[in-house]
Amino acid sequence: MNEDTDLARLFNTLDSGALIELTLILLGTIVLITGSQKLLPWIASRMHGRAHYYVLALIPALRLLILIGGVLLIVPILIEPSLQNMVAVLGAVGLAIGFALKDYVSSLIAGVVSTVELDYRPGDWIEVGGVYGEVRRVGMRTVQIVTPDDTLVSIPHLKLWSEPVHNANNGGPSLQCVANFYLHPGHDAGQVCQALRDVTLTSPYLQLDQPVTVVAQERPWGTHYRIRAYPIHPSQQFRFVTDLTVRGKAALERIGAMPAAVPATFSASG
Amino acid sequence: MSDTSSPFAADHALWKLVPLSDYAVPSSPDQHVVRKKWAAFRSLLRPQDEAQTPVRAEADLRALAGVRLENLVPPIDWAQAVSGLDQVLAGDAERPLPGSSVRFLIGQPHCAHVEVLTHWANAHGARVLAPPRPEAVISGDEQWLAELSGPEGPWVLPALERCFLRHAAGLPLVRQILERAASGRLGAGLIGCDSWAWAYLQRIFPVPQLPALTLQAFDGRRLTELFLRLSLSNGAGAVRFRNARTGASVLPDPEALGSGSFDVSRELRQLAAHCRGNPGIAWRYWRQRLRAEPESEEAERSSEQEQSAAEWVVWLADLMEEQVPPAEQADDAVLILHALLLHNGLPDWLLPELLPLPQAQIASLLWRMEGLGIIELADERWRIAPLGYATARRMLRERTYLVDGF
Repeated sequence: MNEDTDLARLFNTLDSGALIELTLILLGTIVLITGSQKLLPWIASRMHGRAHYYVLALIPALRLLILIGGVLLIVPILIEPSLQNMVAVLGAVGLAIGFALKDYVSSLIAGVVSTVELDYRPGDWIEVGGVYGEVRRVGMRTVQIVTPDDTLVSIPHLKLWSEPVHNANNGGPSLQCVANFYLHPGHDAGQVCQALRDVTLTSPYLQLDQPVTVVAQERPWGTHYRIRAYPIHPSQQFRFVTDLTVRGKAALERIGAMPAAVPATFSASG
Repeated sequence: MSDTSSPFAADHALWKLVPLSDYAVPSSPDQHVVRKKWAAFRSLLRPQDEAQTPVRAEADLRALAGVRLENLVPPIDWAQAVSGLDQVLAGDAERPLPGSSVRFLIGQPHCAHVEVLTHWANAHGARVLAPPRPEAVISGDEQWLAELSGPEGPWVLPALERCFLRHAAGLPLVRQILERAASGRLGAGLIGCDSWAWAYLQRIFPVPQLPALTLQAFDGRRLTELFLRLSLSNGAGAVRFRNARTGASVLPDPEALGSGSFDVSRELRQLAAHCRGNPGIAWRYWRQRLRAEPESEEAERSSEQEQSAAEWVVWLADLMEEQVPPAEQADDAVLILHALLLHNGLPDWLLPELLPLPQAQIASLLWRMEGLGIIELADERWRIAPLGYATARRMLRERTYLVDGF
């Protein structure tokens, strides 16, 4: 009987006025979050370049702010905000999290960390756990990315604690692409480098104000050439690499450079 | 809204050539964001009929007949720019530039740098080098290159943009030209280049010491003088150019030209800013916006006018809303627009060689954009239409493609 009274003292009496206030705050929070999640991507889709990415990056941060604001408004309505009450409530919540919702809450906290540290934002091209794609949505618990095969993958923020996150453009429009060429050793390397450089400089997708590099590496089976360059927009990366590859092969054929004949088994980085 | 800040000298250098870095893009009277917002707010408060009732409704007016339009706005005589070029070159003769003896003249699209240089060559007996064929550009034609080092004497290469192609094999020739020009091996000469091609070539073969000139921007004041002189050149008689919406006079009296002091109308300052100081494109907008009274009313009014002031009124319509390609095709359309601008126009058979798009898709997009007035076919080459240039440039700039320095 006594315990019931103590527990009851934790919470405020919810009269009809408090209930209406709670409902309004909840509705307001939901409307603001939903509205910002629809409005900001719409605004971003009408912008190009850096501004596009800045607006997209605002989405999770704004949602977090709205949520914190909602919680700060709701808690004093539900609980008498004394030290004793707060310790009791937080203790109970902590126990529940520790036993039942550890991973879920860990993902939520990692989501907050990712929002603050900006490990990934909508519009970034990231690789987590071997999955590569464009970030479409940074949710409370997961980050949703769309792979080049148009598959939506939801990755829990929890992965942030244990796995490296590869971010190819880091909130900007510059994303380096690499096109590989594997050639038979009998060729003029200087001529090949110049030809590959011209192939890159004449690509309609090339961002001309970023550096263009041709890297050559001698291998037991021949020579491995890599073009490193930046497309105008990250979404053009696959078309850009395809364009470099198709026109690069034609240019190499024109100067008589033959592809390596031996089936090569090596890592992508080598 | 008028500009009377500085008196206008009658011998003002309309065709002034300046170093590229001195080009000053005219600013719009509406450019300030706060002023724009305030104007929008005021238009909300103003009663509907007061804000929108034009002096002459555009629907009641008709486009000018061909002959009358030719009389009022004849083609620009680009030979006048030769005097500006001579002035700069005379300065060079007094104070020779260090290094190269080759000068570059950079022209915006529809600013006729080829015509200017051809006029200059004719006036000075200089050798004019015709650009190589596209096949010769790709094959790196040595014979054409040998012609560059021809007999002694000044020479002119009016269209450098035709000496390269954005193709894997399309750059060596232009590199050799620029390298020879920079080293002084070509001797004294003039090279003309389109502004978009120049921006691209600066990234391919950056030679900062090459001295490049361009026609100074035509701001509202210069445009006023240009259009007034054009309207007087064929003896079209007394004509009053008035804004169809406000009724305000757009061009001053011809006498003001001689006195050297006149107001610049808001319309012409807006037009100068919209065209970024490009007189060729401003000229096309000017021609396209002029309207006349319908035949019957015109006859009636002209008889009244003959009796009163013997003055004929030509109305200036609002700027037409510009068309843009459909959003789902915009990404491929900008590739075509960029290729056309970088080469100052291309024949249709060459486009599939330069773009990663199938021929059928290119043809479809070309027709679509021609229908929207963004591009046009001239001398068997597709090029950006003067009235589509602002749209094309804006689309490319927004998508962070390379744009010219103007």
